[in-house]
Amino acid sequence: MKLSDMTDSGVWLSFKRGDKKAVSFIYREYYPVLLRYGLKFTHHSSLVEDTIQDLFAELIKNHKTVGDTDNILFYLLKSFRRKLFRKLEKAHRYDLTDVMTDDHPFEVVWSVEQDIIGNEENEHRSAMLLKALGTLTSRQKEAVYLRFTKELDYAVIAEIMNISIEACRNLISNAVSSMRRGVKRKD
Amino acid sequence: MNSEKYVAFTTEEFVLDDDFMRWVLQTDEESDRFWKAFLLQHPEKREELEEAVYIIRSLRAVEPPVPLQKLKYRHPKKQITASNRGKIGTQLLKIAAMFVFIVTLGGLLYYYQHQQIGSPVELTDGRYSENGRIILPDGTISEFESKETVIQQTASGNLTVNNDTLLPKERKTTKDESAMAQVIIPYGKRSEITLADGTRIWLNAGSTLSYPIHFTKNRREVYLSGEAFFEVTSDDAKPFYVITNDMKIRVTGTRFNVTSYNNDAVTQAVLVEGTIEASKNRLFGRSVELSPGERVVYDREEKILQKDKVDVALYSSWVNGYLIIENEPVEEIFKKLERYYNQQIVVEELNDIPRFTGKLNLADDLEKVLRNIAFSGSFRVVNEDKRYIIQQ
Repeated sequence: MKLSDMTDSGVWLSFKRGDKKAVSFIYREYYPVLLRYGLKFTHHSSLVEDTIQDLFAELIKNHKTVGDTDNILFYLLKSFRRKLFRKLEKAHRYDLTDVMTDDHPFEVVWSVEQDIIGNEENEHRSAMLLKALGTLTSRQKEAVYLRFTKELDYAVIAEIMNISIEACRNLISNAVSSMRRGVKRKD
Repeated sequence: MNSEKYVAFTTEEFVLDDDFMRWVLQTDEESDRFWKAFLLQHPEKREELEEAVYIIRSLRAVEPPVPLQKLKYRHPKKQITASNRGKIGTQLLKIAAMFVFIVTLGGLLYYYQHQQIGSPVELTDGRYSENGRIILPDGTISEFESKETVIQQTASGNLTVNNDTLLPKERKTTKDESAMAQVIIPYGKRSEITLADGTRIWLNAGSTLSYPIHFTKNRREVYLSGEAFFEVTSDDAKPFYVITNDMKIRVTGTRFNVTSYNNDAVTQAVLVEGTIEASKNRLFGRSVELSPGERVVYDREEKILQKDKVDVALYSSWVNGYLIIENEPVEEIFKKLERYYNQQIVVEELNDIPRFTGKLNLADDLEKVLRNIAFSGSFRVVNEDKRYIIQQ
């Protein structure tokens, strides 16, 4: 059976058995996801790439003892986020010019920005929406990103962001309400 | 899914609903049926639905493509680097490409579901057949053995294949709007087709094109699976649509080339001159307008349309009997060559996937073409059992 036809649990099991093909497969599948996610927190691309390499090196080293998962994306995003934050904080300890706060920035290029160019009909509506998007907090943006770009469930997003499911729902719901107000405001 | 629950939903609630989000972001027949039925039953919810669809689509991130070479996990051991030859810029091809825009589309076309567009068309898969075929509106099938087949459809209804008349000129004036002909070209062959409006289409290997015998509607629609190069005759009153499984393209008049293979990961369109609009082939599809030199890619995995700038010569060269290639993994090139020559290329052993830059002459036999690539990619080509085996 080809790896691409297998379920997440199956791929993960092959990986735990030490199958090198499974390592390459997981890497190929999830490297872009992790890289794009990481680059939303920082522009320091080598730091993000290093974090991914560390994550995989660690997984391979501990392949016999890592836990089971039926959602590899979730598993990787969660460990990656934790590692990246640790690395970012360490990097910022030596860089006093850019003081790190608890609120890591999260920068996203939204698809609505493409609408602004060349689609007159929607131009106004898109501009309003974009303005509303500008008012979102970093945490809201991250939750919205995980929800609508990565299509994850509320429970999974909550786990990745280390918050409660209610808090996660509220983050997204508040963000959507701001968006809706942005769209409605027709002047 | 329970439609009762949705009757009282607000825009926000639709946006936050799991099933609704999945429907907007993933193409799935079952949920498509559910939501279309819901909309029919509750037309008063249309505004909320459209707004929710708009918000969800707007809230997606636009993400840059990640270079292929980064996707290989580097176990800590030696690496073999691909050697690249210098860039070959061909003035001639640049000129040829000036009035060409290219659309590369993936996927077999099973049905087309946009409201505005007509009935679904099922395309025949004839990629592995020996001969090319044309299926006439009445269901009769004609086969042709020629490697390069010339098909001409005139406005009076006359249809010829390699100058042999298949359908004579119609005397009656009644024109059946839905009369479609289907041209099926297997791997290893090509065809050049002229439509009733003068539009010319070069159909590449392993492709199927369905077109109307007459253009009587207020739009001209052709359906494609595989790859084709179009020179569309300008007619502002009747826009021309190229429709594939996952993308539709609207043109008023220009020359272009379309490719649609279901074993490719993406669907893409490259524009050289004029403007085109591309959109996902589904309800409320947002369209992306292209300027010359731009490409729109539909990633089937991520299900998003993205736009970037490309060297158009790389996408149009096949029409002139060449493949211009710039830093492409050899496995991708093998895929194209397999289709073009209808011969099997088996990668037996490659330590790394070399990349190739250069110009391949498709008039050469496959062995010569492969040796050309092997020379710069430092691998060996062995001809065995009518197959070509690639070894380190």
